[in-house]
Amino acid sequence: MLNMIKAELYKTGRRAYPKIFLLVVLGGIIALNLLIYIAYGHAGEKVIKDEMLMMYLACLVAGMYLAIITADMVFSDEYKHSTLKNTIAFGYTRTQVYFSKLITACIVTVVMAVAVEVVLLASCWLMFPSGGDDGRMLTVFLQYSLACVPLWLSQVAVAVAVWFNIKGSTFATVIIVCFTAVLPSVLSLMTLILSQPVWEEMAKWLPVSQFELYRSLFSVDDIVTVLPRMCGVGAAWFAAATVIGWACFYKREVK
Amino acid sequence: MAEYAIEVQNLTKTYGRLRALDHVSFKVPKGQIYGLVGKNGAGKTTLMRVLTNQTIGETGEITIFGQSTPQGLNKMRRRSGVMIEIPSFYPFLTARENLEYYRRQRGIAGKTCIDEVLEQVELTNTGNKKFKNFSLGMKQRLGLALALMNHPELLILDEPVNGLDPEGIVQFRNILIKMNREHQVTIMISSHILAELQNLATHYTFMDQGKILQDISEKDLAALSREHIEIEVDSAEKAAAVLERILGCVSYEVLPGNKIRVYELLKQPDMIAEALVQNDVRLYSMKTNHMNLEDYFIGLIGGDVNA
Repeated sequence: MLNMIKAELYKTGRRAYPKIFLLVVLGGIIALNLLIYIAYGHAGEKVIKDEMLMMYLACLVAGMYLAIITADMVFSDEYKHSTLKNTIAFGYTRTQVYFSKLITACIVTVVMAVAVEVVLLASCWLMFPSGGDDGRMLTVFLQYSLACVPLWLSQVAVAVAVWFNIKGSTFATVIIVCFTAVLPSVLSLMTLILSQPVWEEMAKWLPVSQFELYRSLFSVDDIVTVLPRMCGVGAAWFAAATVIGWACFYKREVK
Repeated sequence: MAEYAIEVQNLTKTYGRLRALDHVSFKVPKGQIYGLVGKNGAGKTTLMRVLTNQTIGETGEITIFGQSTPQGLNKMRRRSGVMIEIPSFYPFLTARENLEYYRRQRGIAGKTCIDEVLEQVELTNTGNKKFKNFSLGMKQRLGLALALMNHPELLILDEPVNGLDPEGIVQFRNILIKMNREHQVTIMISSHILAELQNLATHYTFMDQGKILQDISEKDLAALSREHIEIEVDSAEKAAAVLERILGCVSYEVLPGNKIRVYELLKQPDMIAEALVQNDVRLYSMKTNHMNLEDYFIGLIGGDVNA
């Protein structure tokens, strides 16, 4: 399986798409920093810092959608191009194929995430010099962003599971986005319509819902529960999506 | 050591109500070129897909180079080269990059194998052209290059000459013959171009509606499809006596229904007719037959090859 991962990394690295994507994202972050500075520069240092912090935290939830793209860089329309058959015909099992793609997608996601976090943290460091409340905000941001990684990887696992098992890539992508963006709202609506709090409770345990916990980050007591919860929810969804995706793909016909 | 490269026993595959493979059994001897002949929808591609694990059969057993367990089969598949349906590669990569991807994936040491196979299939000058811009013929050549890259002992090829020009077909045939003769590579090949298959195969299996109709060697097929004059007479015994005593003909075959196939005097049918009539043998019909593979196949299943 190591050979398969090496090959996947080679293929992903040969594409212009990941490099362009990363440049666009990093450029976007830098541009947003400048825009906020321009927009709020007159309002004083504290206002800039608050706006920057809100933006950084918003960037982190955008990671859930960016993870779909990084997973796509690796899976890349395998059914549309019918390339899976070459690998299966050579004697690799469906399990090896599935996990090599998943692991490679995780590696690419983490590499991209590290690059984005370096830029965000550099921005944070410029905005929040170490010492006092600013230093604490930088530490909180760093811890929070690290706790986001399992959530991003859970999204990668969901995306890989859906793409392996649904042939139409557009339809599959719609399902993934609906899981991320629409499902929490649907569950909240079910609570309102059916007056049963269980739906709201279910919504709270979705991966994307964990990003709303950032409001608790500035309480020392809450941070001790928030960060482990984010990691735990991310790991659980990663495991569940992987097991379900693999089990469905295991006997699938490859054309 | 296994005598057969592939052994299939009682293989069945169903799609809904359609039985694509119906208790298929056959053996591919090692070192032979095995032609799979059948109409569209006969089950040839499904069979090859089951052999290469792209499709999982419902019942039956497959053995490749003596291995029949799932792990053993996968190990043996790594000694195979496969080209099924239209060759598929990543459209955003060049020929060389696509092969490099698969070289790394398969753990093949050294990049020289890529140069070798590209030269074999005459795709060395594609440069930075991406696969998505290849013609069908170029795609077929790249598919063949991938099948050859790991120096396989077994090749499974489904309609491999589709899209190739006549020169390409000849080149392809020569590559396969060379691999078979010099390296004893076993080849299982299906093709609609039966004339081309006839230039290549040493054994044939005829399929129709998911079933194996017949397994036959090239020698036996040649014997059955020899050119001959077929006559229908009132008495095969009398006619046979005339053929032997009057015409000195020894190479003939008596068939049911007072029919005789004569394998001599093919250019002198009038002499046969005259001798029979002069010796009071009634001649009902006389025709010259020469069957090629296509004729034989059509005779076996009836109807149009491409129905």
